[in-house]
Amino acid sequence: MPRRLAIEVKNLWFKYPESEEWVLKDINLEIEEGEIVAIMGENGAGKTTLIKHFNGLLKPVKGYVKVFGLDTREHTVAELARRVGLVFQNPDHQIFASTVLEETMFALKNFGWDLKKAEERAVKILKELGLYKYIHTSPFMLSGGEKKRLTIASVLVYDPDILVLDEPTVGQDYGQKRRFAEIIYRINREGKTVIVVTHDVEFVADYIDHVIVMAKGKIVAEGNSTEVLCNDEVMKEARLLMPQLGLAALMLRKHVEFRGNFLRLPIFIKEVRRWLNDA
Amino acid sequence: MLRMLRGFEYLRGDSPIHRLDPRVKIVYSMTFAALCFISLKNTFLITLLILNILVLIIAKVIKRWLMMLRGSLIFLVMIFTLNLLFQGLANVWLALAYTLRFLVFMTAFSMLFLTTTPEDLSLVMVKLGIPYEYTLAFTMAIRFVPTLSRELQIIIDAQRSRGLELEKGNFFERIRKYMPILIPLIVHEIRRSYLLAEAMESRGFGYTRNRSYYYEMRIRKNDVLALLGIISLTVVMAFLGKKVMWPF
Repeated sequence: MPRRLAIEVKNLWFKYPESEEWVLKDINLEIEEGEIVAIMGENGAGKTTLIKHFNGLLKPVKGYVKVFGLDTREHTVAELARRVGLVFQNPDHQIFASTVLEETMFALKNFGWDLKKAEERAVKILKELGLYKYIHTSPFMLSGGEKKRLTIASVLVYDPDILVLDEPTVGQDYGQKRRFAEIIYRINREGKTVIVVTHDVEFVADYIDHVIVMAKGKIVAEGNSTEVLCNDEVMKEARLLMPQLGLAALMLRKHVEFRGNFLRLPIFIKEVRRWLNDA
Repeated sequence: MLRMLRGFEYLRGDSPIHRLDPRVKIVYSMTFAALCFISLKNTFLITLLILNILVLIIAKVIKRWLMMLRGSLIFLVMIFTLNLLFQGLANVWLALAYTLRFLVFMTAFSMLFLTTTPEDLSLVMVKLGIPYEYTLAFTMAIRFVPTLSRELQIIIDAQRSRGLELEKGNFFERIRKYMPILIPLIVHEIRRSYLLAEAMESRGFGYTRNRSYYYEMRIRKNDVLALLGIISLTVVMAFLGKKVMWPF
């Protein structure tokens, strides 16, 4: 049975009112319910501008964006935000409350939840994300990784169908990145659609299968992450560095003669990954 | 509000006005700002405004000024309405004159800030004997206006994404709704100021009081001509305005 479309973007063009330059140029995109998708590209490629269309913060100049069939031009941000949770890149741009619990409950209060229920829900989410012990601490006292998890908690708390994470791995160590991957998988298992905006090639190569690559306001490639990320031309256009495994494979291919299918980079990488997992 | 501030933000460009010595431009802004207090005749103020607009056209910054005009519309309407309320309906021309005075005043200084880099302005202040630490604070305040407005927009977006509706509720509720926006902004900026101070000290800021400057200001032929033009125009306008010889 075909799955529902979570996000449908059709011929989307966008520019800021004070600028002449188009930031998004004819974007066409379909993301199915329950998918995990990475949107990649260099700084200024239009990734953040694109995701701000998903909850109506920005409205298309031409074309349309639909979220579960709802046209974003006809709905307010508050209405769309219930379905699309957007986690911003820098936690310092949203943290304001005096305790972690209050910070987590902020959205629920905005959506008019009963206070007792809101608190129960916030406690549940904070437990899930390993932040329960800080419940009465000031959010400003948390470490970088914890703050980032808190911002995810403060969005997950109202149970949106789609979660969009803007650069979740920037400035995070390996342990935190793994933790984010676990969170993403867990949310996804609950049937939610997860969209991750990043230029962390290794993170995508390791954890996410479906990738969309943007450059200069356009989508330049879409598909299986191993296939796309090992395409030298696409990576050059998007000014991204191929995953290390891909680079290693390219170097090997230069020096060693392989036969048949082995010449295809994605297959080679799949094989290497299998060996590594078996070892 | 933010749009209004953009009329006081340096706009990189190349025009005869951009190339003028900043001191000449300061004289221009000061004299035009002073001139608008000479007379309350609408025609006099409109003439001042037209002269200012001509300078803005030569400086190729008229678009930005129009943007500022749109942003300041609410203030202009407020000044007009309040004057009308307190001076009485019969004094509608007077209310208009006060509004125009505010506009001319803003425009005169907008030209200065739109065409002069903050660095040049701070250099002028240093020449006037103001300690460099103070002029630097001024330069940085101007330098951070666009950064601050960008950050403010991100914070507003982040909180709206969590269901904050700024446009709903009565006056007091709306003010309360600005807390989740102001707190992150203030905390973020205080943190940034510490980082900035550390970065500057690491590069030797404050090592000596006798610092040197990369640029030296020099008065050129065009500056002298512009200054003469400003002085003669000011004398003519002041004379006409003051002596009630203003023909209309």
